[in-house]
Amino acid sequence: MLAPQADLPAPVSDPASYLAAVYRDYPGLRALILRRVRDPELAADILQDAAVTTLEKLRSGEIAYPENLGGYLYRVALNHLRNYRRKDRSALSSPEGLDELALPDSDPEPQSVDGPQWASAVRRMLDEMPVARDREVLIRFYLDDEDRETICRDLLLSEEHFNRVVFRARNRFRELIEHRGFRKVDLLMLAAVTLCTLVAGFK
Amino acid sequence: MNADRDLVTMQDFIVGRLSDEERSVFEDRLVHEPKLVRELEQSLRMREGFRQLRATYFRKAPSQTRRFPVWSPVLAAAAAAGVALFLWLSRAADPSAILTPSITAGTPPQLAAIGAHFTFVTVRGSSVPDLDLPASGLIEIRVAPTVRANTYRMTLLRREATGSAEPVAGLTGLPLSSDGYVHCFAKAARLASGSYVLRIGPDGENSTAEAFPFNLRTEGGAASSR
Repeated sequence: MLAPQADLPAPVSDPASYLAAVYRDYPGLRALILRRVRDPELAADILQDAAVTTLEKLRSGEIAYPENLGGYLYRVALNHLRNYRRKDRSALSSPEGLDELALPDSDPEPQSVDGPQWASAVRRMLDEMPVARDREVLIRFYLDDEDRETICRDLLLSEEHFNRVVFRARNRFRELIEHRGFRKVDLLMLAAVTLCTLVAGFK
Repeated sequence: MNADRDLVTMQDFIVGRLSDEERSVFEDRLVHEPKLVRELEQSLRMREGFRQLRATYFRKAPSQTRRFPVWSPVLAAAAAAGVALFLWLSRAADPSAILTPSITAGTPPQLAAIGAHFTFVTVRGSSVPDLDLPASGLIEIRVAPTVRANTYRMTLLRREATGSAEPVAGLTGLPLSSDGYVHCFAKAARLASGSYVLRIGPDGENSTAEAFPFNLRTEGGAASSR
């Protein structure tokens, strides 16, 4: 059953601007897809297909909560990513890990447009943390992909402490990204990471 | 929304630790919970930020399955060799020649200038970072040891093409600073490009020493094998 007319979202008259908004508002999703497929053009194709599919669903009234278009975009993009990987299954020695979104450590670093800024924010966030163990919590959780249980057990931490560390870090990271509160050293770091990314891209 | 649980679920979702059913439930929640989308988006940005830093900020440890070495006869032998090496190092090398625990008063400004900062933190991975060797000045080195101790011993070894490692500098009695790092400085002019290992461990103990391999390269050139 179609939603009442009054609840239908306004028609999107400019798909190009919608796609631009997707790129602007969901760089994390973009980075994830890029990291997964390791090909910037393919990643852009998957995201564009997801945006177009979402747009079509929006126009046809299939999206019940248009105010949360991002959620639909995420789901559609991840479906497209899985479809791509199923087609690409012949390249896998085993279907195991098909749905894993992480990139193996041995793979080269993909280029992410916003990555250097996020890296600067992470570095500053870590530099500001006074306790080494708290830094280790973040590194193991966000970089080493270890689960909370293992980290808490190894470091003799309560889950409450773990959550507190991660929440504080996320808040600080958000502040740094939103307010662009970078220091000179961060800008130098930003330039260095960008340069490394460009050099890696030429290899 | 249970924020504590979601924090973990988001990361499990990203790294693929959820079952098909759990993943499906999580993706359904994404279309109903805008806040969850925002938090997931932030998790992805943070994770990407950490990964972008991997090559320039974090050292990669060969393995993370056990962070603390297991005592064994082989390690005991290695420890004994390490003690012998250190005793030899104390006699044969002038530790202050390359490494210094702090910038001493009276050092000429051109020599006291910090030309680079190297940070060594144990993380999972396997590659050896390439670090740029400044032409002059000091390199500020900070290491986050995973083993707690009152004071630490730091040894810098240069790896030869044959695979052997030759100690070139060492310091003892280094305290753990309030920021969780052990700090010291290296004189850039006394170093050459090449492959190195920085070892750190509690003073008087070798079994828990950690090793951080890295390559030094001069500006515009790759690290030499010598």
